Amino acid sequence: MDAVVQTEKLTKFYGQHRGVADVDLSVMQGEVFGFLGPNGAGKTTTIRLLLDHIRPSSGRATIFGIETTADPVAIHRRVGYLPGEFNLYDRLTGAQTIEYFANLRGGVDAGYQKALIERLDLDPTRRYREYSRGNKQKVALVCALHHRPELLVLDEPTAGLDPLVQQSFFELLHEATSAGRTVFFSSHIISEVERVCDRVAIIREGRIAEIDDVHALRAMAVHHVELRFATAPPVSEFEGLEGVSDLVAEEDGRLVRMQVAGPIGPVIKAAARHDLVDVISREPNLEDIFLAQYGRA
Amino acid sequence: MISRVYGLGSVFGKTLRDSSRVAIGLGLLVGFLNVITAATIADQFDTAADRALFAAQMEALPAIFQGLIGEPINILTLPGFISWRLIGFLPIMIGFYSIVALTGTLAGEAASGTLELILSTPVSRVRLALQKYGAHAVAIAVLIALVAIITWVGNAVFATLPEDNLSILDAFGEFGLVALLSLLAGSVGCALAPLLGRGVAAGVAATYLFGSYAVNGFADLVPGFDILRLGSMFHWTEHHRPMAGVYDWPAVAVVLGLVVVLGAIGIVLFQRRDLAATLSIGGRLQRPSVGAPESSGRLPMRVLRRAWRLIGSASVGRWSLLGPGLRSLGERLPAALAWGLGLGLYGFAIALSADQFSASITSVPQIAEMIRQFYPDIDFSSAGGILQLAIFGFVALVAGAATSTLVTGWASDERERRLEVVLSTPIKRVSWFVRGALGLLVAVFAIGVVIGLAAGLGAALAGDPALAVVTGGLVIGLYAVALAGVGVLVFGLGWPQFAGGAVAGVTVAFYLIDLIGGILRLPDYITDLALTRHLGEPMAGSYDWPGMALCVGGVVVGVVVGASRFARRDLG
Repeated sequence: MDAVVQTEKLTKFYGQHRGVADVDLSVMQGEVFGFLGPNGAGKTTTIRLLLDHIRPSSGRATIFGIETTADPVAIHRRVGYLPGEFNLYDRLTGAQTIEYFANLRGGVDAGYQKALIERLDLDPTRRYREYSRGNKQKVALVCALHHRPELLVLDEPTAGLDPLVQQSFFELLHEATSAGRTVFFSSHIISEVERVCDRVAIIREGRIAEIDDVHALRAMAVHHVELRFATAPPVSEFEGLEGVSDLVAEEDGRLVRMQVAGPIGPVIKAAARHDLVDVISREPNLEDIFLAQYGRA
Repeated sequence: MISRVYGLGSVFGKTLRDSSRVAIGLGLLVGFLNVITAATIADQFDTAADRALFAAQMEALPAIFQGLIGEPINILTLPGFISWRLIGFLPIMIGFYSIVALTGTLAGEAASGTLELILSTPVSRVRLALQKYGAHAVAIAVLIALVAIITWVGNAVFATLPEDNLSILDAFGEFGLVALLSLLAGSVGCALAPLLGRGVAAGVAATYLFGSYAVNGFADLVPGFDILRLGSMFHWTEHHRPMAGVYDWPAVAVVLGLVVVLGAIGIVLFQRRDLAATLSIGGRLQRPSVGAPESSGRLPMRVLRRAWRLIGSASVGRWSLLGPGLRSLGERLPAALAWGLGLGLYGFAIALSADQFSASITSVPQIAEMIRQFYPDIDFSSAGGILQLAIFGFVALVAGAATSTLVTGWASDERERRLEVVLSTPIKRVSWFVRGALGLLVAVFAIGVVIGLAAGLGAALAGDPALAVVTGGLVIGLYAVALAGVGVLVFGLGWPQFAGGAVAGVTVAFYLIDLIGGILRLPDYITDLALTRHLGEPMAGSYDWPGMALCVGGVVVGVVVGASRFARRDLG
């Protein structure tokens, strides 16, 4: 599989202030790549670097094998972009705004454009300034999608969309990836990233802290395990097991709590040698991983 | 505590903090101008006899010039001279600032959504509006206090005759009126903004400000202006010149009363209306109510409605969606045409009254001879000659102000992050910049085209040749294009937030160098810095081709250098 987006030590400083530092990413064709981080972590800076809206202080990025600073127009021709913050033309209606962006691109399928407007439940006859935030987002989404881009770069795409429209939006994403297109999905809404993304990068203070597929990240994460016994087992049996930490015995030793990093099989095997009554193992979600990265688990 | 010191303790403090730089900067600039004026007059007319001769010449000026530069009252004295030179111009310059600030502070912030956040705190709307309005009034007061003190000190330093003495109270009395006139213009915008929206309200207020000055200046010569001048704030207060020893406090009280009333109207309307909701006159005219046939109404109203619809539709016409150049043009054309129409109507009225202007000049043979010496190429018996003498400089100044607003609009594409979406489409940065700039420049040039056509029509109706007048309008358009080139350059270099301000600054600088430099006989190498001195006398049929080439060259440099830098820099 080819890398659609590739960055090598991508770095951006605004004077003395850090934007992003040494960002290494590869986004493969056909995947939905989640880009997760809190406000100010460097998500938007990375995206703006990818689109050549700002220039790297050092390092490089390529999209479709083209260096972003070398031929941005060739890249933009194949990219659809939804910024996190934007403004369009107050006096134009939604339809006129979409028509303008279609003219800028050229070759947009009018039928598909109309279908997008209907699926996102957008009233295109109103002036842009009269739209709610969600409707403005829909106009920009149509502009990002109507040319069937090979790469979709979405920065907080569901902001302001109601749940029904979000559903339509996720269907559109699914259709895009089914057709072999790639999605770069930046968000700080963890459940959303977990739901739609194949792989995730977590960015922290301008640097990539974790990058893997969602399942692997989950597997890597700590399980919270509770073992309930009819009679108290010797706790020392669990202490020596690999990955076990924070071991606590309660209720006269009949309830044993622990955290297990990595596979929990050895713990279950050790527990099975005793009078085991119940096992509770809470599977970690992306939020746990994310919070752990920020030391707030 | 520290946040209060930095102006973050209240809406009042924050607004004052935001306006302090401009207010102090303007105060220092105007004060400096007054000191320069005092220094030069003291140097060149240092005896009572010299002053008397100069004053006699100025007082003998025919109405065409007195309309342009104001009635000379007691200009034998240094303070009287300063008052004469600046009393007309200052309220226009500071009034324009007041309009921009007072329309932006409530209507503009409401439209941008900032006020929604502020009003979600326990601050009532009336309190908020009062604090915003009050902070602006204090900013103007600070500005004027600076001007008064600097002028007083400058006058004391350069006074050479006993009559040159100026009391600080008279300085405050004089510039206090300037403050009130400026605030009155701003208050007109403030009162109308909740009804019309920021842009239209600012336009109406600016029309009142410039119109007040122009109508009052030429009321004795242009039929109809004598009626219109009754509404001119410059007319009401023309006999209040404390620095010249003339007082008219009742007139000042009237202006103060109007400032209070209009401010109160603006605050009450702001309190009553939905936030950011405006009664869009443009929208109403563009969308006639159901059941009202388009052809209904009297003929002038129908024509007005159609003209308005035509202008308003320029920004949303299908052609304006075809690319960035046409979008830039479409976005700015309605405002450009409106500015052009306003100035063009002024030129039209003056051109129609050319005979009266001409008669006023020939009524004083010595003055006619003096004008022939200064302007040998101008035939002041023609409408073109009169337009050149009477309004060319002023119209060029206002066209510069209009250009500043258009450049600000174009530069907002980057500040408001539209550009980020546009430049994610397959358009080269240079291409967007050059095409957008060309769209802007065409809109700016349209101001001159409309001025030329309207004034030319007036000249034709007066039975005079119209071609030179139309061409004169085009030269004003070319001058405005050159000014826009400054804004294009500043935007391209990476300061979109200063693009419009740079144009305004250069416009005012050229005007002042030209106006004051000539009167104060500043050396040529200074006065020649003003581009306005290199435009020839085009309405009178005399062209300065190198000057016009300089305009074209300047804008080309602005676009090329701006585009080159824009292609390489980060988007804001």
